[in-house]
Amino acid sequence: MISIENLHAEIEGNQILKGLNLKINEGEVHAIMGPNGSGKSTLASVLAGDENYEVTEGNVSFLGEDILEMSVEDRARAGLFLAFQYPVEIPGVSNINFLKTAINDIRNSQGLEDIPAKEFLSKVKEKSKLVELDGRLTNRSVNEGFSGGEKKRNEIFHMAMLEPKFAILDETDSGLDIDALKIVSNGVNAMRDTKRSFLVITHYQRLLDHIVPDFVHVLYDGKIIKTGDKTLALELEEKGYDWITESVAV
Amino acid sequence: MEIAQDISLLDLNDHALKPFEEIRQSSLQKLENLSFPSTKVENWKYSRTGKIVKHNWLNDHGYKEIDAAFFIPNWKGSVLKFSNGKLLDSSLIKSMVIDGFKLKPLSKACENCIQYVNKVFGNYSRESENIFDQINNTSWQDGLFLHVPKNVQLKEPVHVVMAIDNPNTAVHMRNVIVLEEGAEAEIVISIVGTGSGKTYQNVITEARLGKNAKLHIDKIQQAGSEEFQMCTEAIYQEQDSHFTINTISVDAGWVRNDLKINIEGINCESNLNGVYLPIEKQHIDNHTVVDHLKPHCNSNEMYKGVIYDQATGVFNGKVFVREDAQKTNAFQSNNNIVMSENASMNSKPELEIYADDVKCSHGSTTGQFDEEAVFYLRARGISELNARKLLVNAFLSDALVNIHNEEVKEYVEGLLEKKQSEILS
Repeated sequence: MISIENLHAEIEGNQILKGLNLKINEGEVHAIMGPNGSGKSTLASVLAGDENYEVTEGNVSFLGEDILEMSVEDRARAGLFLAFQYPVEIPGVSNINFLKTAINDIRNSQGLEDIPAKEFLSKVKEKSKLVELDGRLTNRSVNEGFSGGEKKRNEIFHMAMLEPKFAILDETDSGLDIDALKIVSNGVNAMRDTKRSFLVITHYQRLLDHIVPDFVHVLYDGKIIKTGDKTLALELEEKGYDWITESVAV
Repeated sequence: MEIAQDISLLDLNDHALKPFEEIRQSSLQKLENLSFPSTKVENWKYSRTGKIVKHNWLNDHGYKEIDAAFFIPNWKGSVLKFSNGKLLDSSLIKSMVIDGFKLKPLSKACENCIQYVNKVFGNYSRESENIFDQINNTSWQDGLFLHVPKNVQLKEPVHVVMAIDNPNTAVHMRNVIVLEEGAEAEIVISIVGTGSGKTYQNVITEARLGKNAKLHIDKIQQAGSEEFQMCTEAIYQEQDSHFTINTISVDAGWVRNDLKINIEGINCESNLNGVYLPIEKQHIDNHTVVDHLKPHCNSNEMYKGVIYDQATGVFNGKVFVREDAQKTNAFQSNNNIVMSENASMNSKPELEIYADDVKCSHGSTTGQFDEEAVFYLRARGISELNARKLLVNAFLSDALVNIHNEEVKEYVEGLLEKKQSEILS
């Protein structure tokens, strides 16, 4: 699905990613954990195409294409999705209008006609149920006045509507209470299948109780320094990061 | 007449009615003591008039059919067309006799209209200290005359199109609107140019709303980058009346709008919204005055601008709440997005309150485009062009909500859509 090789990236002259390697196959769920400032969110932003970051070295191939050469929207159209850590509020643009524009822009770029209104509406109905998103919120301005939990549920709703091939969840669990965490996780799990891949970025093991990963990686100082299965997350929860980072320092 | 030789803007027109002639004579006298404003005058601080004043304008007013693009598709009401100040025969005045209302070109306002003309014509402009208003008093060519009698609701809206297309032409236009008690009317005024060289259009609209009358004006400005437009609306509201105006400045090289609303009766409502999107070196200046003279009135003002390239925007909104005007609710806001480093916006909201039991607020913001939001939209697969359009439309949308006529709404949205596509592509 996606193959990241020796990725280096910086922002305003500060090097954040320092040679990151990661390969994710179809249908796999990978989790990335790591202390603050290790580069987790930078990785998400760079993959999505945030132009504030400069890639100084390395390659990223997504479904065989070099995505570093692609625009933000072309990456999304190719099937990459980023659930934002801080979803942006957009006053005056309704959630529905936003999604319709997105779906139609994606379809048009693939030479397809606009989505029929009826099909769109039934999809909205179906997918908003998935994350128990109130009908009220689907019609309101994007994220405006949403609670923290509602914003994150809305991200998963967007994901469900756009049906990406590969989704990055950037600290989707932050700011969620346990009920919201379950709802969000259920939404993600409902979308797991043998084709779709996920990269779950999180600080906390508790999310991984609900979204069980195939692999867990530890990101530290811009590199992946350890990889294991889901038990690694439990170990990190128990011992913290020091035991790994110290062994790296040696 | 010496002054006529000095000011090429002067073009003395002979309109038969007595009030016209009286005001013309008094204006000619006033002009001898008035001078053109420099930017040292506060009211003209950001808008230079030198290029208008110094240009050698021609008074040769040919006329021709107006481009179809300036008309609203599927329009059901009357249409008055003026080309370079001259009424076109293709104008269409509907249901003229029904209910006794009078809709005519002002130049043809007849003897039996004089009592209505007297009520409004010159109410504002006669004593104006603005030299351009006085020149209009002497030189206006034509415009709309509308009188709606007591309790008559004009069923069909009126579209007035004032077009200018001869290079180096200056045109002065004049609208007179009189709504008697309980009367209602809806008017769209398009002030347009075809963009072929320097032109100057000066339009004064004076209106009086009788008790419980309702007047709705949508004003659409579209012209080329070398065109100057100066538009003044002076509105007088009697008790229980409702006035709404939407000023949509789509394009024009240089615009100065002066909107003056005098609220002379209790329990009135006044809504004044505007949007402007100057590009390149365009200059759009909105000056507004809302004068609350009587108690229990509401005024709502919202102007929104998107300033591109090296363009400038000006907003100066004054709200007066006089001593008698207790229980006034007056709200004013001006919000701008500056799209480039070289674009600039000068915004000055002013509130003067002399009453003690009122609710008033005003605010002004000028900021840059939210690039984070653009990224968010693009990350969902939306093209950069559509993302920017969506965000600009969302920003402007609450200043456009008062356009309630579906045809006008669609037309204006189309103009804004087209303009943005041109800017962004």
